[in-house]
Amino acid sequence: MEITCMLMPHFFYQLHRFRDPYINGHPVIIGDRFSGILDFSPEAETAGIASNLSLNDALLLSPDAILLKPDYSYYEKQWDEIIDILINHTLIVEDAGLGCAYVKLNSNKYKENIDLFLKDISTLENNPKFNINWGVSNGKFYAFLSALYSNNFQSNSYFNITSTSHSFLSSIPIDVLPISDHIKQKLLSFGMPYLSSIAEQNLAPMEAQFGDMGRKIWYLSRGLDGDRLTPLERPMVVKKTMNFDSLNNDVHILHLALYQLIREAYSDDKLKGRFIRSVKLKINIYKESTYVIDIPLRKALGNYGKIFSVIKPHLNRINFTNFIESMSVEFKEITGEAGVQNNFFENIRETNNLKEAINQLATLSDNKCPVYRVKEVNRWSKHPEERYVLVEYGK
Amino acid sequence: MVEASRGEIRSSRIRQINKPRSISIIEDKYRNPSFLEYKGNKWKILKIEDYWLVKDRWWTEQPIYRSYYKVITVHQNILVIYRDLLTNVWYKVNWY
Repeated sequence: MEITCMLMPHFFYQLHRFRDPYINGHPVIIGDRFSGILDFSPEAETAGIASNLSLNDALLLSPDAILLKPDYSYYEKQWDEIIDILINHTLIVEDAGLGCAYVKLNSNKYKENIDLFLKDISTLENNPKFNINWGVSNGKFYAFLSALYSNNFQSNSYFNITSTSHSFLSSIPIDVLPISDHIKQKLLSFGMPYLSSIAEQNLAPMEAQFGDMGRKIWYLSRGLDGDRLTPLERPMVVKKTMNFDSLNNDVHILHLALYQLIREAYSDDKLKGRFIRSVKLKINIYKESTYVIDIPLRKALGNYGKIFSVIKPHLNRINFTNFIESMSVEFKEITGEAGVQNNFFENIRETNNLKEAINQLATLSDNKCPVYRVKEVNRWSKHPEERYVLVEYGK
Repeated sequence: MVEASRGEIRSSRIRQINKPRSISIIEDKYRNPSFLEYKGNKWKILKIEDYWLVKDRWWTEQPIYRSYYKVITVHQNILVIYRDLLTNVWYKVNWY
């Protein structure tokens, strides 16, 4: 099985460059006093900046560098979009953290797949071109290595190494190994600065010294990588957004818009005959921060009318002082059944099962055929027609 | 005149059952129902099992003045019918 590693060198810097193009070509350091240096530009790298330096030392080394504060929410948002595009191209994707992902591509067609992916990724917001390194190998570690050494920060390129290219391994320092700093220090003190120097050892002394980790790095240094991909499972989400052409903050218009949004979202095929457990409401306000309301539903709902009646009070609680630009509704935790907890008592369980079955039927029929039951409301009424009524089932 | 305290049931989740429907009744010489005609069928009433008079909501604009009959037909169907004493029209309430 061939694994492809997608590595975005200087991922954080690349994102900042898309947001603020004026930093292009300048030495840039991204970090703060608490987390140290997160990333830097290639220009800063040539000035001697490295991630293990303290921020003060880095600024001393490159006094004219632009210092930027990390914006993690922006990084995560962009990375999520990139991962979404990757998932659209291939089913098996492993998210290895911001800027690195492993994918399983069809070995004959991976170049075409990568080209398609690059075409899609260029449509991302403010994103003319990403620098991405691709590495293909039999295992994850070697795919990562080949991506790391492919054509660093020059162009989008593909690089394939085989697990037996010893000349290649001899130049790779042990820093790239997925191990703790403590073990790296020990390896250096034993005189093993490169992967090839670990490969020259026997397995037994490595195991004796480092245990399971010793065996792992010994196998890795010999090109034997048993790590398999752990595919990322994206939860199903249905999202609808509405932009307001005219600026307004009238709550009645908002109610109408919300109802329309929920109805539109509920017409999505993904929600056909399904229930939802959580709703996220996002309201962008002109010249103000965005309202984000997460509404967990106590009971899974399968009907847009009911969902609207649950969300509406949340909307009423907000006091809008400025105009609203857009509103979006996101349905999360979509399930196939209402999932009501079973009761220990059999008769109650039977009633609940019946209620659940009727709820599912009503959802499948898009709530066009409600089921009623006869309920006694006034047993002793003189008018027999007033003794019973029909009540919608489950209410 | 006092307004009717019992308003019309409007909630869409509740529906009225046994809504009275008008039927034609052939009465005997004592003005009791003897034959019943409903949906083109004509049934003889064998027995009047119960009878009660209701005078209600006389304090409203829609007073109720009815004589109810619980009857058994020749096919052993039990049903409740009433005569609206204000309009002299017969209604069927429910089958048992």
